Amino acid sequence: MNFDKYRLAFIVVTAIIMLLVASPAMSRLLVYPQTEFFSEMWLLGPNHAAEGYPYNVSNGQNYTVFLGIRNQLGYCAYYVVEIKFRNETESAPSSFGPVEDRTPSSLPSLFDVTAFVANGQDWELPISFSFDYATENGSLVVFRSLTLNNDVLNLEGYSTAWNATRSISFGDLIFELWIYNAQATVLSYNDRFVDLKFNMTS
Amino acid sequence: MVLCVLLFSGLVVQCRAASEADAQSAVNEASQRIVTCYETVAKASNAGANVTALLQILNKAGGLLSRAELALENGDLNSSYVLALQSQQMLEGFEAQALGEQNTASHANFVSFMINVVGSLVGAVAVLGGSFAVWTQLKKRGRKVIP
Repeated sequence: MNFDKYRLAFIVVTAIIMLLVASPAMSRLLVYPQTEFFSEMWLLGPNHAAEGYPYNVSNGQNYTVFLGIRNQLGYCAYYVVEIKFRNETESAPSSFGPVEDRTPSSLPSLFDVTAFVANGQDWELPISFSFDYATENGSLVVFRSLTLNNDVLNLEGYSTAWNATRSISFGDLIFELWIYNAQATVLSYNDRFVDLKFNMTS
Repeated sequence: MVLCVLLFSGLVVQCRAASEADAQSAVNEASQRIVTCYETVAKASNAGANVTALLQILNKAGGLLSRAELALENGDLNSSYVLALQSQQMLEGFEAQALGEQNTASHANFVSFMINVVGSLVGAVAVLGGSFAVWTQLKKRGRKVIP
C-alpha cells in the first residue's frame, strides 16, 4: 500500500492536533497586550444617570450625586479625591491641553476621599451634601459650612458675589483625582477632575 | 497596692485628652500604615491574587483616616486621635493576610503555568513525535506488503 498520497492529509491532521494541544500555551502568548493605561472618573446625578444634577441650590437643602472611578492602569491603584469649593474668581483645575499645563486648583482641599481600586474595577461613592450659607445685602453669598456625607466641612472665609451679567451666584464643587506614585512616594494630580456648578439661590 | 497603682495609671492614660501632637502623630502613623498596606496589596494583586476583600478593608481604613484628618483640621483632637487609632487597628494582620493571598496566587500561577504552558507545549511535541513514529511505521508496513 502506498501511503505517500496521504502524506499531505497526515501532515494537516498532525498540525491541527498540535495546534489544539498547544492552544492553552498559545492563548497566553498571543494575547494582545493592553496599550492604554488610564483612570476614569465620573459624576452621576441622583437617579444614577448623567442627568438631574443639582444646579439651583438652596440653603440647607440636601442633594445626592454619585462619584465613580474606574481603574484601567494595569495595577491596583491608590486614589485620593480632593474635594474643593470655589467661586467664579478663584483658581480652577484643568484637565485639557498638554500634560504639563494640567494643574489642580490651588485652593486647599476641604476633604480627602480615599479609594483603593483593583485593576479593571469600579469604585463608587454616593455623596449627599448640603450648604449652609447666608445672603448679605442681597448680592453676596457668605458660606458657613458644607455638610458632606454627615461630615461638616468648614467653609468660613468662602463667599461668592452676584454676577449680574450671568444672573448667578456662582459656586463650584470640585472633585480632583490624585494618585499615589509608589516611586516618588507622593500623591500627584492625575490630570482629571469632575465638578458641579451651582447657582446659590437665596 | 501595686496593682491598684498600675490600674489607675492605665486608666489615666486611657482617659486623658489627646494633645495636638498625639493626634498628629496618630494620623501620620495611620497614613504611613495605609501606604505600607497598599504596597503589600499591590504586590499581591500583581501576583494575581484576588484582593477585593483586602481592598474593602483598606477603603474602610482610608475612610477613617480621612475623617481623622478632618477632625484634626477642625481642632477636634480626641476624635482625630480615636479615628486614627481605629484606622490602624483595622489594618492589624493585614500584611500577613495580603502575603498569604500573594503566596496562594503565586502557587496557583505556577501550577497553571506548568499545566497550560509547559504541559501543552510538551503535549504538542509529543503529538509531532508520535505522528512521525506512526508515519514511519505505516511506511515500513506499506513497503513489506507491496512485494
